[in-house]
Amino acid sequence: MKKLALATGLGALLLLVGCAKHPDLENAQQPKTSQNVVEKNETASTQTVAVSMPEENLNTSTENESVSTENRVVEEQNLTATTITVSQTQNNQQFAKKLASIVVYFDFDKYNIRPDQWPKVEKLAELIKSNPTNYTVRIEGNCDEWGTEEYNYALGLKRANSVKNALIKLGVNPQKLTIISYGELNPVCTAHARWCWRLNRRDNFTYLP
Amino acid sequence: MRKIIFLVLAVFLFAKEYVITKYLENKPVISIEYNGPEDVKKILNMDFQVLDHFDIEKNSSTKFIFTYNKNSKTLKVEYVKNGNPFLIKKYRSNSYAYFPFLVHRAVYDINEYFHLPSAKFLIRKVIYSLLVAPKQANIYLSDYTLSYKKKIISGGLNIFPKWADEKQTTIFFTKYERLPVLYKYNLITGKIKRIISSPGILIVSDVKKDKILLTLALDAQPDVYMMDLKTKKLKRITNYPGIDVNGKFWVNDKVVFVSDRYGIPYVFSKDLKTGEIKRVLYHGKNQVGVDGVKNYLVISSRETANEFKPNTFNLFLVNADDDSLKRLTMKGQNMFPNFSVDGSSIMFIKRENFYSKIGIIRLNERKVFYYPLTKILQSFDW
Repeated sequence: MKKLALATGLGALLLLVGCAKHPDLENAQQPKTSQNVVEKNETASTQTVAVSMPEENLNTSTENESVSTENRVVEEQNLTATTITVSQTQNNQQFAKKLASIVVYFDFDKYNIRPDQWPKVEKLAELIKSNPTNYTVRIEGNCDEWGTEEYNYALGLKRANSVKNALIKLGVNPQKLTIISYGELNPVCTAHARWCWRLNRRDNFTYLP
Repeated sequence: MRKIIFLVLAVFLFAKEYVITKYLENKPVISIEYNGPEDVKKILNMDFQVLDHFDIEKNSSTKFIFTYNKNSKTLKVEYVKNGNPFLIKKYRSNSYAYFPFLVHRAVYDINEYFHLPSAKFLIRKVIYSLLVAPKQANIYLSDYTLSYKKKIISGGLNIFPKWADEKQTTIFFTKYERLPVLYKYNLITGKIKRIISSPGILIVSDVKKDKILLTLALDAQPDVYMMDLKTKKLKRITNYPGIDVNGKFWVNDKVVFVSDRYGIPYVFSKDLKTGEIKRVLYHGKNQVGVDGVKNYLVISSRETANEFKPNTFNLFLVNADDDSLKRLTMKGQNMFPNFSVDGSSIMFIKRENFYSKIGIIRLNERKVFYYPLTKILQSFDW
């Protein structure tokens, strides 16, 4: 009879522990700490469950970590402005400056070259053709803050490609040209206004040695 | 007899609505007690508010006592019934800043304890890219409230982060080098792997097991491609000579994407078996954002002809099963819709009067929650 009581007691205990609400530790990666520790407290009916939380990059320091419950404090760390490597020679520097001074603007949600922007494209073609040395011109398509996600990047790319095709038609060697889209990530103007958005819908031209 | 058939039919037709109504009327009544820093309490309150699965009263027989100890970075939750604690759960982290995840996990566990519909969105991690200077964008890890913030990738332009696995240990992201390059990065081990590069544009739009949908411009033409991660083989999904972007896996071997083949961007679907391409939503003047889960699609569509007027972009929910359409938002610019992994919630960004907010739509609970967003996110995934 005693054995039966003992077995029943053990069974009940197992059932109790088995029914405890074990969290689904799907992300657990740490070998030791990720194990749940089930301890029995003094009162028979209370259980203590230790739940460990997996954290990313545990081996690294936590200096990049922060918390703000107001959603108002935004960190900006380790800012280093990118510098474009320009060739040492004076000529190439001047050429890079001339390239950078040309900006082709576009209409809202459009990637065709506006009639008033054509003279700039022609000037650009002449500039590239008059400098026959070995280099690449990167045509950078940019957008305003409107439009979302991927579409804006594609729009920027189509803007860059429009000018690339125009330059090829004007006799520029296609191998000298490369295109990239910065979407809305390279604004020259950050005010929320129409005149500002207009300035951001543009192609820039960068000299790559 | 006819009446009975009609009644049965009516009950069948409204069954789903009925369940939702009944569910909302029977929220478990609980009491919450909290001891500890005020910041932790804010997150705790927010979790219960956004989850919206409980009626919280002062004196309920079921009580949860939360205690956060800042020194030991431990959150203790006592489950109490009729004054007797019967379960204690302890959540510990290595840093204080990580506490939002402890709170989310604790609330998630309480939701599980009551066997309520999944609240997985609470414990999902959010990965986002933020522009910090022109041509400088970092990638951060966060919780769904964006309170926790950890810089993961920095230096140059790091954009379009996307979770690469269900367990949220690995991400894809695009880095602008001489050409845009796609990397796969393991947050736990720090291992980084170069996947592919493409001139002009390179974005991971969707991930489904070993397959990813990409927007590439291999010949200066933005198109949707599918890549098998095992074989690294690329398959071109679209080939219209305009803009085709934002590919998303959908039901029945379909891929949806945004295309400007009608002059302005609309959402289309392509049947991968037959190759048939169809417009998905005949509403609105410009559809630039789309996300899909199961048989649902959420689409951001412009409804006014003038892009600068209010009421610009609204979110619509499309159900492939019954072709139904629901309008989810009413005003402002509601964009970047992103389903939670269980499909129960949609996270999106709302811009109104030049202020940005994060919005969370709880589809079954029929509620939307907003909280402020001070910076413009480049993109995010959760």
